[in-house]
Amino acid sequence: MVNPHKLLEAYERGHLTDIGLILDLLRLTNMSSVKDVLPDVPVPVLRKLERFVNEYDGNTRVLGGAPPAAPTVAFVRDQLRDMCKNGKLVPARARDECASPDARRAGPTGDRGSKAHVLDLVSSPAFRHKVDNLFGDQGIRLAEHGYPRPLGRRTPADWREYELEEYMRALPVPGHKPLDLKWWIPHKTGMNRRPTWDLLCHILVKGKPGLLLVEAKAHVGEMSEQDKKSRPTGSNESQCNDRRIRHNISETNTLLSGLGYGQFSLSVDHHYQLANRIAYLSKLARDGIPVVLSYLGWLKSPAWPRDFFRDRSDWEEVMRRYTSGVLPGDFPGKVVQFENGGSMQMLVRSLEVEA
Amino acid sequence: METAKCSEVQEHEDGYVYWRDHVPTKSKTGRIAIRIHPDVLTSDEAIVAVLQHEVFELSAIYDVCLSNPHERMSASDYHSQVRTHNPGNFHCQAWEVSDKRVLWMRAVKHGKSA
Repeated sequence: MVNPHKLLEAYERGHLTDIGLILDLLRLTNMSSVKDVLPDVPVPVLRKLERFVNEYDGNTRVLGGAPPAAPTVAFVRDQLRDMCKNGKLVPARARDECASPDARRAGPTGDRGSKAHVLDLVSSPAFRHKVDNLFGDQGIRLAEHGYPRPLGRRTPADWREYELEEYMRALPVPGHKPLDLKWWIPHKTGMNRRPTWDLLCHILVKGKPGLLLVEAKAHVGEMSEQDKKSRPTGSNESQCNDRRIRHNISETNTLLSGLGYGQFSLSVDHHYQLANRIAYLSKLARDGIPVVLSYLGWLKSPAWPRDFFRDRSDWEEVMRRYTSGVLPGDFPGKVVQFENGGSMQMLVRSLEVEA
Repeated sequence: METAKCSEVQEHEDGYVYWRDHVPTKSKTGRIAIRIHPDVLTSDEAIVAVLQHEVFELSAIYDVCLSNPHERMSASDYHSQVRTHNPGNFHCQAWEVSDKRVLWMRAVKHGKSA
C-alpha cells in the first residue's frame, strides 16, 4: 500500500504531504493503528512511524498528544480532514490543493535530493546543453520546444511531476496521438493513480520527434522505493485496475522477451517501478513513437551523505545490480526499432550535482 | 490584427488555468463568447476560418482540461499551446484545420467532392 521507508524518510525531512497521507490511510481504512495499515513494516520502522503519528495527529483516535504548533501543519491537516469528510480524499494531490499561499511561495515540498536536482536542472540555462551532452552520442537531442516537465519552482503547477497520459495531451508529440487514458488503469481515483515521471521532455531521436522519460535517483536507498505494487482495495474499480496493470506487465514481458535480447522478468511483486517504466517505454514505441527511458543518477548528492552515488561507475554498478534478473544484461543501451517508426532505448546516465 | 478573442483567461496563484475560466461568469447558458473583429465579417471564408480556428483551439484545451479531475491545465502548458509562432501547437494546428475547412468550402462551392 505504502512504502514505509519512504514515509519515514518523508517524516524525517518534515514533509507535510506524507503526514496527511498516513492520517488519510488510517481514516480511509477505518483502522486504528499504523500496524493495521502497514502490516509488513519491520518493528523498528513501525515504532518510528507510530511516534510520527503521535506527534502530528493530536486528535485522531490513534492517540492523544499536543496539536502541532506550526500553523501550516494545522491548516493542511484541517483541509485534509474536510476532504475526508466530503469524500474528496486524494492524498498526493492534497499537497498542492491544501498548501497555504505561504507554503506555495515557499516552493515544493520534497525539494531535496533527486527532486530538487531535477528542478535545478530544468531551471538551469544550461539545461539544453546538458541534455544534448548526455544523449548526443546516441543521436538524441532536445527538441526545439523541449517542454520539460516539471518546469521549475515558480508555481505548484510548474513543479508537479506529470503522468505521461496527461503530458501527451497537454504537449502532444508532433504527429502522434496521446496515450489512451485507460491504457494503464481504466479507473482513475484518489487511490488508483498512474505513474508519474521525474522528468519528461520532447526530443529528436535521429531527427524524428520523440519523448524522453527520466527516472532519477540520488542515493542507493531510493532504488527500492515503489518496489511492489500496492494491493487492490475491495472496490470493483481497484480490482479492474489491478488486472489491467498485471496484463500490461505480462504483455510487455512476452513482447520484449521475443526480441532476442534475453528473458524479461518484469513483475508487480518486485522492481515494480522498473516494470512500469519499461511497460510505458514499450507501449509508446509500439505506438510508433521514438522513445528513450533514462535512468539518471545524481552523483555526489549532498542530501545523502551516506549512500550517495560516488561516480559514474558506482551508479552504473548500482543499476547493473538493480536490473539483474529483471532485464537482460545487454538491454540497456540497445536501440529496438519497430516497423511503424517507433523505437525504444533505455540509457543509464549520470550527472554531477552542482554545488 | 487580432481576428478573434475569447474571454481573458488568467493564471491562478497555483499556476493553473481552469476550464471554467473560459466561460464568462455571467453566462447562464455555459456558452463561450468569441469576439470577432468586424473586418472578418466581410468575407464568408474569413468567418468560417476564424470560427473554425477558435473552435479547434478551444476543443483541444477542453480535452486537456477535462482529462484532469480539476478540469485545469498548467498555465505554462496553456501558453505554449495558444501562443503564436510555436509550430505544431494547438494554435498552429487550428490554422491548418481552418485552411482545410476553407478549401473544403471552395470545393463544395465549385461542385467538386471534398
